Amino acid sequence: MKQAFLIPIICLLLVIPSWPVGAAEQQIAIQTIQAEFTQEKHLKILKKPLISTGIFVFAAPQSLRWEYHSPIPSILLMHDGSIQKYTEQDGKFVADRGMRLDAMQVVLTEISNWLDGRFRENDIFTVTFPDQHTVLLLPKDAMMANLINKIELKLADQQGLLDSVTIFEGPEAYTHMSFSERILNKNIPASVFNSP
Amino acid sequence: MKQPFVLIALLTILSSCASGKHQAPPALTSSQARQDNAVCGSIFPQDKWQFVHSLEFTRIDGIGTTVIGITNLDENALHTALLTIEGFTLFEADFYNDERFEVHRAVPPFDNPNFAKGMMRDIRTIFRPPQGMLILGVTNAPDTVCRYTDDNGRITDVLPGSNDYQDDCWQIRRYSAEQDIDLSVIGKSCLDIMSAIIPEHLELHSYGVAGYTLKMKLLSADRL
Repeated sequence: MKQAFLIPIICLLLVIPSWPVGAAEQQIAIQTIQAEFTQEKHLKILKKPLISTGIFVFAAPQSLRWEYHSPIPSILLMHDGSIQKYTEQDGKFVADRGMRLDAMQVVLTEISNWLDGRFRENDIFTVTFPDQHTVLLLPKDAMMANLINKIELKLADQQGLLDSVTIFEGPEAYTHMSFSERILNKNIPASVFNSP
Repeated sequence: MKQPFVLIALLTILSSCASGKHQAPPALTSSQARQDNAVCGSIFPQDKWQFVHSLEFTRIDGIGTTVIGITNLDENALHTALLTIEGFTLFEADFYNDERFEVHRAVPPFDNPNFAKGMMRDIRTIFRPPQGMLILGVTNAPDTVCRYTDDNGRITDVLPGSNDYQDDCWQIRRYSAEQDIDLSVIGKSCLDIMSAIIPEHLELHSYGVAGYTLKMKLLSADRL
């Protein structure tokens, strides 16, 4: 589990937008949420930030579609206990056969924990609330800390929504994701989560 | 959960078993072209550049994954980084012209020194003119070939092509000291970007016991 840092981080991003303000105390009932996102990758060697855009759709308890439109179209789907990642190749989405899906199943358990309000029980991060609009996640494990310094979540004024997530990897290396056009509790067909 | 599973495909590239037919360098007849490397060097970007590519790795058995590659060229070094599509930094290193390299970040399994060496070989082949004695010749095809032979007998053929900015605008073929092909690169759909010939697509094939294919699509090209 300690080395499987990548997917937990990704999945953390996927789930956090549904996390309520004052998470430990006042979780609101979010059945579904969808939003657009813009991701900025900052790295010392990059002349300009690498911008990625896409959408995500989440339905409780464990259905998710995380879709990049640019620069590389790709889709991560989670539904009914199965997970698949697709990347566009030659104009069509192809299942990523390089992924170890059994490990992703473990991550789903983490997600369900958070959705059930057990955010403080996370094995990977210590969670603090520096102010009313900020959640700070610090890795518990030293090896993890070498890879992810911290994750900062900025909460929106509207309860239950998130404005941004910033993942700090090290000096001059971080990923900032901001969310917009959020829609809560709209009916979403299951097909959104099981086919690219 | 022993390893970061997203990266497994790249690791397995290093351990995959691929076999290919023996391909020796073609015989050349003397070229009437000038015996200089102006045409041969024209496919390699001059000055300082930053390229961002999507990188699609595929093993010979079809297993693979896609990441984002950043390559900065300057006079003395190649600076590189590999990112997941989700933005996580997998690997970051500097490769110097004198064969030294410095790894700044390497998430397992990229912390294997063989990975860094292999990556250095690949990006140098793509972005730097080969070392060694140069002769120009023509194959039976006929293709004009810039043939570089280094001190160890390794041959690198550069086929500059017609430079008409069409598909398959140039090729590079590397041969081992045993005169068997070990790497080939095809530059496709070349673009004229600030007077430089930049392929929009690159396809690299690594042959032998650790064979793989790397398809690169240019996402951005900027002079630094």
